[in-house]
Amino acid sequence: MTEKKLKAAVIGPKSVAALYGAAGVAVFEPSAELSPQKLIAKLYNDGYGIIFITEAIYKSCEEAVKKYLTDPYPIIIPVPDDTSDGTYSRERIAANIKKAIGSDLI
Amino acid sequence: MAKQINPTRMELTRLKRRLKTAARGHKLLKDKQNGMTKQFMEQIRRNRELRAKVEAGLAEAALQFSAASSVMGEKELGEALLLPAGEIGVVGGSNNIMSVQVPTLRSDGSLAASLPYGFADTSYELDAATITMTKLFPILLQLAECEKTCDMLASEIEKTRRRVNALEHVMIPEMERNIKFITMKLEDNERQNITRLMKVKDVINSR
Repeated sequence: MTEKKLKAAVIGPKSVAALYGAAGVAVFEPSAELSPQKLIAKLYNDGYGIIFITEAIYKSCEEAVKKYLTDPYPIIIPVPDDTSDGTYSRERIAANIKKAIGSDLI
Repeated sequence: MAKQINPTRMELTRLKRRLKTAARGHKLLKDKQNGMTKQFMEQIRRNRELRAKVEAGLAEAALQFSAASSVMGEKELGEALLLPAGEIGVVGGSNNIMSVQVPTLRSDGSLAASLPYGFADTSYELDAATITMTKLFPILLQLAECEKTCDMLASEIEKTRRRVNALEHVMIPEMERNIKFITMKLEDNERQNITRLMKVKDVINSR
């Protein structure tokens, strides 16, 4: 695949995601009309290649994220929010190890 | 299973050819699985390190951000960050790991842009939080690349493992059983034929 310029976005509450905005990442907040699932699909259609989602929201739309797993782009990963202690991300890594090897040996 | 097959020499040749292909496929898939597992272990270690770095960096930035919020006030902070900091420069490509296309990300150098607000109504804490985030962004990109690679490799390893197991425990043993069945059946036919001929010979000689 040839290299291409990518756009990055963050989905999360404004209070948390504003930080990413300061670094030049587009900030999107889910609303009643635009659920996280719809927002992900919209961002994908708009050509966003990297989508960061705060952990609390990521948990609620894990199934929607799975369908983007087979292609290299978009990259959708959870990032810590103000309520998380990193357990979810560690569990995700452990789940990947278990999926690949059969048991979490590391 | 063995009862449903046709015990002919043609079927035997076909089955032997299939067994050879299956054994070769099994070896190739096993090698692919081992190669991918090796790459996966490297990536997962890197993933853990990057995750820890990102979590520490984000916690620091969040702390500075909340300090800025308490100094400046929510409204002023919102106004300062209303305007985006400009588009970040990320270039994406792909890399082939054992026939799995994984993403590669690199910054085109335009990440460290100037602060996206004026200095008149903002505090030092906001500057610090913005600078921390800007410095953290390349690590966030590495994490994104690494985590997606791990996700994709884990799925592919799982798929390959299923194929290897199916070949090793189902297809190959079944083909071997069928080959054995046909060989035995053909040998049996051969023996029956010889016995029949001997019997015929005895009948002719007894006349």
